[in-house]
Amino acid sequence: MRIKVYKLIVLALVLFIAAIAPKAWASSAASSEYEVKAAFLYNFIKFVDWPGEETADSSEPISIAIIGKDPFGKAFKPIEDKLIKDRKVVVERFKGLEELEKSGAKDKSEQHPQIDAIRKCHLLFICRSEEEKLEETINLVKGHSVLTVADTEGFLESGGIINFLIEKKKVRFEISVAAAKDAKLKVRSQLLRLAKRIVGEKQSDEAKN
Amino acid sequence: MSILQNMAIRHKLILIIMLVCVTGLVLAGVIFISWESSVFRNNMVQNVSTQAEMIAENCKASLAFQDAEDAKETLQALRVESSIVFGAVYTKERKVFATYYRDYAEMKVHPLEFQESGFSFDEGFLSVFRPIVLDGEVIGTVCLRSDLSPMYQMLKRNIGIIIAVLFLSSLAAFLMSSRLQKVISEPILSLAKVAKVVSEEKDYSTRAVKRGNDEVGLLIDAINEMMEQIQRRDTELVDAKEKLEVRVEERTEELTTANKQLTQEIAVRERVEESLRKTEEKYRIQFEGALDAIFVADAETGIIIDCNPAAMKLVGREKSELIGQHQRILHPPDKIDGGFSKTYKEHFKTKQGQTLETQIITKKGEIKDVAVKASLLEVGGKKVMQGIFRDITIRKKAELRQAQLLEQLENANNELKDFAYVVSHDLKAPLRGIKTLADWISTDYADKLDESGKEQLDLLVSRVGRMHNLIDGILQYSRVGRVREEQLDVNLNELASEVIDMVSLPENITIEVESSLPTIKCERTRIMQVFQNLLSNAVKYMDKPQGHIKIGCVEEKGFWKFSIADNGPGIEEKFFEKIFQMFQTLSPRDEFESTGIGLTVVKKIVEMYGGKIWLESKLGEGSTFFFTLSEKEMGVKNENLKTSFIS
Amino acid sequence: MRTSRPVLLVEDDSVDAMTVKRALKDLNVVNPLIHKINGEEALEYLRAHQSNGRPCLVLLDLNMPKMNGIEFLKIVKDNEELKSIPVVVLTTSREQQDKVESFRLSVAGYMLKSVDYQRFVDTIRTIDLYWTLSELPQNGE
Repeated sequence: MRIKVYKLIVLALVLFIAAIAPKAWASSAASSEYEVKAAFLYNFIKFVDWPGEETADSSEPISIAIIGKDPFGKAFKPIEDKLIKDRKVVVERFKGLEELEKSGAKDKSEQHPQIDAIRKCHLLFICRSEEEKLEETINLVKGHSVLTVADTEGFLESGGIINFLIEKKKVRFEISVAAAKDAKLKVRSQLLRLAKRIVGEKQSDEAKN
Repeated sequence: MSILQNMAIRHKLILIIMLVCVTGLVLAGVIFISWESSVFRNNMVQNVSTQAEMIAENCKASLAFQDAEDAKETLQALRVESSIVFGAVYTKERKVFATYYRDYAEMKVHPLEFQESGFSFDEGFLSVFRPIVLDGEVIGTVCLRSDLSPMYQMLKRNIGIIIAVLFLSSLAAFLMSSRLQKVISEPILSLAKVAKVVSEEKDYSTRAVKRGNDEVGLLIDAINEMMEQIQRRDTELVDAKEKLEVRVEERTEELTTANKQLTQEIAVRERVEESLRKTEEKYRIQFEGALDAIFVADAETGIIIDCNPAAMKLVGREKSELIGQHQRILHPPDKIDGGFSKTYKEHFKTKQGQTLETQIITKKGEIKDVAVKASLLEVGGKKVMQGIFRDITIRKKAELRQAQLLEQLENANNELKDFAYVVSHDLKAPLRGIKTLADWISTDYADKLDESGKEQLDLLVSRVGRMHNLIDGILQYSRVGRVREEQLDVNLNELASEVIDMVSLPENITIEVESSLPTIKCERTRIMQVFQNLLSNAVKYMDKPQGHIKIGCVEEKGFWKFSIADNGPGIEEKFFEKIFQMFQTLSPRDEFESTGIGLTVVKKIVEMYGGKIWLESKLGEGSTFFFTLSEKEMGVKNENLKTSFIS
Repeated sequence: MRTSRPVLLVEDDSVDAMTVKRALKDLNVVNPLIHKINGEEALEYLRAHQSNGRPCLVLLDLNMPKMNGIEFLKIVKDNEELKSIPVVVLTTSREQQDKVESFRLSVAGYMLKSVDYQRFVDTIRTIDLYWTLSELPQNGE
């Protein structure tokens, strides 16, 4: 019996990969991971509620900011036309803090147009390149309802909300509920359920749908 | 089908009821089951769909984040639902993402056909597909497959129930129907029984018992009534039959009698015919031999069809000149009216059998007076007018002569009457003068006259007196025939006493009315005259010291015989006739002043009334004058009878 | 008579006339007696003497030549002036017809002439008595 079950799982996996494969192998092997992650980013947005989202103007696009060294490359290409919650998605790349500082902004709290822009985003992906300045970068958008996502170790501890991780060659993620709460963001239970690790308050608080 | 027809009613009824019930129940059952199944199916679909939806919802994230494990876990929840044999999540590319099998041995449970949405029943499973929609985008499909075991269970259960119900209901229906069918069948059966009785035993007195007021009840009523009528008719029929037999017998008798009669009648008929022939002969003989002329003409047309020799002689024509001619040729033109002779017309219309007078004209043109009697006869089936003509020329002439004579007589009589009156009156006048003068002379010149002279004057006066009486007598006599009075009922008793008063009775003479005198119809003065003259005679000529005059009347053979009897001088027989003559007196006029007219008048009157007058007498003892009057002609019923007749 | 006016006697028989005269004389009747022998002459007299010498009574015989009593009577009674003069018929006729006719013509009396003189006188007496007793209209009326 168990053997059969395993077989099935393998088959499922195979099928799954086979389903993904065309898309996955179409692009370069390296970027498949980030294609998945890109898709995941989109999905994250789908499973997260921003404050005042219901009354927001649908003509305004959902903005995804990537700060740091962009690992996605053309990963967004397949999904760039897709709508999230009936809104267009705009992906903006920002230079890292270091770069920003170099560009002239000495005081991080001052109104820097780029920083403003970052703060206005829905989702901010902090690249690995910003590993050093993780907390700072996170603090940059603190209190601004920005969903911070990264694929760096200890991201959650640094105050990030969602962090990617790879498990058994599969893209997974972990979520900080506390961080989400700080950002006044509601993470749906379904998403939470899929998280490998949840940090923060009880899950039951989040399940309010 | 005929089996059905020939079944007993109650079986039929029960069968029908049962059939109906069962059909009803079955139908109900079927419908119920179908309905239930349908509902159940829908519910199932609904159920499974809902579940699929739920799974879809729950697998959104899993699929989005490609967490097959999670999806699988979610699918595992289906274990609860024992009927769901298979559950799967498919990716957008229709690739299996996660699956669930209730029984891993059953690999066959994969759906054959993939749908993106909807449901289908196949291979004994219900497959439900639901799309997984994330943010308006279909990212995958959920498929759930359920076996239909609950449905079959339910079905089984229902059928079981239905069958049970069916069974119980049928039983109940059977029981009830076998009881209740009696309501209909019993009356019918009893009716059938009655019919049977009637048809087998011909007993029309049987009647069916009416139980209810429904159509069967009506039928029973009708049949009973019919039976009633039939019974009645039957009895009537029997009666009629009997009567008929009686009648037939009677009839036969009648016919036999009639037959006998007929034979008799035929014999009679033959005799009658024989006598008829003889009569015909007789008639012929009479016709030909009659002295009077007989003409026979067709009643309608008036054409002469027969005539006898006397007829030919009368009109001076031969038979050939008469037969075929119209009867008017017999008459002169003035006796013809509108193509037929006047008398013919009258005879035809109203005066058959009556004798009329007319004239005929002979061939030579001579006109003769005839008396005609005509009648309508039927001779040989034809209506004819038979006229008998008699030549009355002579008679006519005689009649004419008679009339002439009568007229002359009449005139003479009248002249005489007037004459008598005038004469008497004018004759009397000088008499009066003579008498007066004579009186005056004897008065005025009494002293100048001697005895002889006075005597002469006296004689003169007496002669004048006589002359006067004679004239009166003549006048009286002439009056007898002249003045006709009214015929009255005269009570002779009254009349007699009146006359007795009038006649100046001397004391020594009595008049007695011996018997009751009748009342007669006559002229009063005349009968008075009779009595008056007879009585005054009796009085005048009385020679006895005691005079008795008796008036009497007896009935004799339809006549009254009156009598005036006196005890006077009597009359000699040889003078019995003479005394009735005019101016005849028996004694010299100087002795008894008499006109001599009295008895003449009496005789005239009596004879005028159709009576007779005579006398019986014995000289010296008295005379009795008798006269008769016809009771038949002059009689009036007795006074007493008269009054009783009136009252 | 009540009056002294004349009495008219209409009579053709001389003997009868004489008898009447004689009777009147015997009865001492003072009225003058006018004697006419037939109806015509009588009428003439009446017409001539309607007022003066108008008779108080007429004694009329019926059987007369030329004009008989009935005819005379008719004329008199038809005459307005003369009809009031009482007329007594004095006749031998017993004829009913004569009686009827006379009374039809309103005679005041119908007397029979008797053969017997005495009786005749009685008759005249009766007439005189009656017409003495009876009222008469005045002269000329």
